[in-house]
This record gives sequence, structure tokens and C-alpha cells, in this order.
Amino acid sequence: MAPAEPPCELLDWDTRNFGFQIARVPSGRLDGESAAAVDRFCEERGVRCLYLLADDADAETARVAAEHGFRHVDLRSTIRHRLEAIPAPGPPPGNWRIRAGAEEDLNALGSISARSHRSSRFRFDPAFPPDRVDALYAAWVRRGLEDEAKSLLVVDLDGEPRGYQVLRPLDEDGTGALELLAIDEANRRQGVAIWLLSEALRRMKRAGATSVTTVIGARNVGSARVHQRLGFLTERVDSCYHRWDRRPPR
Amino acid sequence: MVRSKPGDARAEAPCRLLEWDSEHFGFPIAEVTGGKLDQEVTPQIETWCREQGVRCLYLLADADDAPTALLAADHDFRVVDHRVIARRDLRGVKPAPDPEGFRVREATEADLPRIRKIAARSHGATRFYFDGRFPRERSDAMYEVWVRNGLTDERLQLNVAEADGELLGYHVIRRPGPDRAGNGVLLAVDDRHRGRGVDLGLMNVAAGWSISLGAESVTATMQGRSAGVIRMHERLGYLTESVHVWHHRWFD
Repeated sequence: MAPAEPPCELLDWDTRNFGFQIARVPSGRLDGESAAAVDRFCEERGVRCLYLLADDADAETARVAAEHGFRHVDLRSTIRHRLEAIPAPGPPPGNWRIRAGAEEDLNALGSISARSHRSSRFRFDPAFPPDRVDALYAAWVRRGLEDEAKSLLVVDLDGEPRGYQVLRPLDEDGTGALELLAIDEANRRQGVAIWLLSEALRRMKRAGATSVTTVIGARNVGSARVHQRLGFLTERVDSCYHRWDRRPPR
Repeated sequence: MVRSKPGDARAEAPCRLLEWDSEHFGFPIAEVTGGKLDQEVTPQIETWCREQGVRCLYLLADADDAPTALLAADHDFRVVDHRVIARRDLRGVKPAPDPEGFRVREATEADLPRIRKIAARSHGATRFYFDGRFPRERSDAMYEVWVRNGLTDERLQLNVAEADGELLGYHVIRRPGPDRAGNGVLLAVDDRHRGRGVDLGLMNVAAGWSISLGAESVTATMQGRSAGVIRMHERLGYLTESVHVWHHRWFD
């Protein structure tokens, strides 16, 4: 008989970054029995924050999650572009350029990331220390540069980085994925994001992608609109929950 | 905001009773006025609801409002849906050709029995079903009422898609107002006829009707969990305009 799957999975990277034990529910589903197993796991392992990502249509999981102290912290849409036609908006007026990111960009990009991603679940949930959330996004951008499988596109104005897009490598089926996208707040609403995003799509198509997916949070209406303008279509919707082992600090 | 305090006749109540919902579901239902919670108003809400015998309380909060979300969770509200409003710019949009394989026409009273059957099977993603505590037959009946309003309310129009004498789906739409914006109120396609473009055909006809009445845009209100419905609107060029969170709180 195969050993039973553990009800939770410890997340080493998140745990190191935030300085306390973090885990997730890998199945994305809860019922009375599995929730009890989750509770036991968290108590035994000293889990302080537990993530759950569940199909938003799963009413039973939502009910059990609420009964077991989970809080709804975001609605996450997975969206896809089929790459059949990619709009080609031009750059905004000025000396703008899109290029591969470099080590010397990281300080400027870290500063942009610390002022961006305001609607993410980590910033929405006040129990996460803000400086460690900043560090999470800075590390995420850095991985775009240092992880050989990923790539980091930088958009600059007169040589100064003003935004970034992290690209994940293609899956075996030819699906590409876009990770973090941010534009410096001083340069938003000028068409920079849609220009950078369309260039990312073209590069992925040239690399052999047959479609590209990404994930956006429901609160990020501006990002949703940019992606919708380019032809991304919603594929699935999930609810993100967090559960803390005690009431989060206020 | 002025809030209710003992002896202050001018104070605004933190909630308001919803007569239609209460009568329809058969128990007192209210909503939080203003869509926000804070440390001051939340205990007032609790007291008000207990005094009024409220059984279910709705809260529609801005999705960005973290303090309200936190207080709501601490006070036994449950997230039951996200309300997504999207808008399509109709300026420069040319009327779409007539749909193939079915026709769209204005509904009549005679269509209502068949429309009711579709309605009862079509809105399961909404908060009333997701919540699990509203009687299912009353939720079904609520959508039947909405559809009937499409026939009786002068501000609305009810269209149906039909092929070979069979009703495939319906669409309730609101006439453009002074803001020159039409509004898609309720759309459903019989589950046996999904995947053949009935929804798209109904929406294209609605867009043409709205344009003929002077609309420059049309809005749609959708459930955040309805990926298929959102995708169809995205295909037509709708862009998200706002996102709010529906919470329900039950008093037992």
C-alpha cells in the first residue's frame, strides 16, 4: 500500500524569506476529513501561515476553509494568449528601449518592485512584514536574471530602467509563461506596459511558444485591462486563502 | 458618515433592510450601507441586525479594501462572490451579421415557461447558490422574476435565441440611460446548446440594439468565478472596470 500523501507541503523558500514556517495545501481541496489532517500537520510542524489555492467554484472547499480559519485574500485568474495575432503598439514618445536585463539593473528594479505589486496577496494580508514582501519581489526579479532557464526583459528610458517583465521557459507542450510585470509608477498610463508585454509575446512566439499564460489578481484592474487589450482570455479562476496559526498582528 | 447613536434621530443606520429580498426568501435580509467596515461601525452593525432580526446580511466591498476584508472575516462574514463590471466601447462598432443557425427576436409572454426552465439551470455560479444557505427553489424563482422583469419593465428588453421552434437562450438588457451606456443584465444559454455561439449572437444583437438607441458603450456585470462568461466578454472587447467582493453574514 502506497504511503498516504501528506496533507500539506512545507515551502522552504517562503519560510526562509519570511522567517517563519510556511506551507501550502497541495490538493487545493478541503473537506472535513482533510481539513482535520491539515490542522494536525500544521500543529505538528509549527506552520505559522498556510496557503490554499482552490477552484473558486468549489463551494465545499470555501465553506470548510472558512470554518477552519482560512481567510480569502485574492481571486487569481489564469489567462492565456494564443499568439495568433499579437497587437504591436509602438513605444511611447521619448528614448525608450526594451532589452535584456543585466546585473547592474537590479538595484533600480528592486526599487521599482518595492513600489509595485501593491494589490498582491502578500501586501493585502497585513500579517506579512512589508520589508520581507519587498524582499520577495526583489528576489523574484533577481531570479529572472540568475536562473538560466528564465529571462528578464527591462524597459528603459534614456538608459534608466523603468520596468521589467520576467519570462519563464517554455513547457514541453510549447506553452510559455509570463511572471512579474511592473512599470515604475512615474511612467504608468503611457503605454509602456502594453508595449513591453507585446514585445514579450513576440519574443516567446519567436522562441517557439504556441501560447502564453500568466496569472493576475482580481484587484489588479489596470493589469487586467492591459492584458485584455492584447487579446489574453481568462482560462480559470481560483481563490487564494491564507490561514495563520494565530490572529495576525495589526 | 453619520452613524446611528442612541438618541440621535438624524443618524444613518449602518444597514438597511432589503424588502424585496426579505419577502422573496421569506426571512429578513439586509445590507451594509456604504460597503465598508471599521472598528466603530462593526459592533453597531451587529447590534442593529440583532435588533431587526436580520438573518442574512450582505456586504459588497471594494476588492482593494483590506481593512474591511479583515474585519469581515473576523466577524463571520464569508466571501461568496466577486462582482466584476466590464465595459465595451461601442463607438465605431459596426453591427454584426445575423447569427447563423438560429435567430434572435424579442421575447413574448408565451416564451416565459420555456425561459423559466433555462433560468432554473443557468445561474448556479451566483452567490445565492454558492452560499449554500438560500433555499434553492427560491434562488431559481429569483432569476425567473428577473427574466419576467425583462418583459414588464420599460427600461429593459428581453431577447431570445430560437432555432426550429426551440428556445436556446435569453438575454435581458437595459436601455442606454443619460450616460449613453447600455447594460447586459442577465444572459443564459440552455446547457444543451452551449458551444454554438448562442451567447455571442445574443450579445451582438444586444450591442446593435444599444447602438441604435444611441449607446456609446455597454457594461456587463459578471461573477468573478464565471471564467467562461468573462472569456466571452473579453472576446468581444470588454475591459474590466471594477471588482468588488460579496460577503454574506448569517445570524443564527
